[in-house]
Amino acid sequence: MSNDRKVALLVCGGIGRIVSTVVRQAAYMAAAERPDNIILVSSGSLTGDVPQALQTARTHPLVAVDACVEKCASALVSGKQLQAKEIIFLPDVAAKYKVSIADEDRKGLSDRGMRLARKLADEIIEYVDALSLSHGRNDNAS
Amino acid sequence: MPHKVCIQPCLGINTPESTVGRQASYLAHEILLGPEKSDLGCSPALYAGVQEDIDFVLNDFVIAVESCEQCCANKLVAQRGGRVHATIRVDDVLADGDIAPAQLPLHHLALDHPAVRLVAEKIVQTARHLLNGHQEG
Repeated sequence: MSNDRKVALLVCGGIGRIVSTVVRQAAYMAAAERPDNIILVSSGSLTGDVPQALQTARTHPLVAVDACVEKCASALVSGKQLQAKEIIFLPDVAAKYKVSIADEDRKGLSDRGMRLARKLADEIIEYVDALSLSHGRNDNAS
Repeated sequence: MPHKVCIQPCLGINTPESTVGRQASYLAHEILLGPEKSDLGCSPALYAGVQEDIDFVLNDFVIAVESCEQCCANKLVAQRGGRVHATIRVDDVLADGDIAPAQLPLHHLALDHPAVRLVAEKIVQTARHLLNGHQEG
């Protein structure tokens, strides 16, 4: 696949809550399974206005993942004037698959936490595949 | 004068150094220093204006834990009106400890990993220096 079919993936990447650990691990899973289609964009780099991170988020279709009600990834999208093609909300995924992570440890996930990360990764990959495909079609049409 | 430190890691996602910094921040905050002497600052939350994280950088001694020369945590704290009192560069600490980042996993490190312990000890040493300075002052 060409670089034109790459999708930028921004997850909240926070540290205070277990859900942030889940979305980060899901991002790694998705990127490992779609290495030619996903570029991970670091929330930390965006907060620091790193030019390469901003450039990636601006020039590729962007998928953002919010871990909790604070919606920090969405705040970065709007604050940095980015355009997200999709915004995924982890609590929706947890509710959809009925996976509770109430007793998980933010320092490292158990099998249950990783199970939710796996479900989220699958959702991310679904969006990435659709965006990569449509982006490729647009390239061919132009 | 502050009686706590805010440990503010850069929270990158693409380098082992940022993963080390994240895990070392957990170790320093939760176990070595404890919540009575430290807070754990979350960069995306600080950016998004979460009040707790704003309070940390306004009220505590701030220790930025940076994984590279971009120093994103320093920039963010300044943007939000806080002051960084000390900066720890994970890449420098690992170099001093003869630990090669390329040999480290990207996704996760246990808290007892030597790289994590080394950076956590540096955070604790820096925190105690700042807090002792306050007590002596």
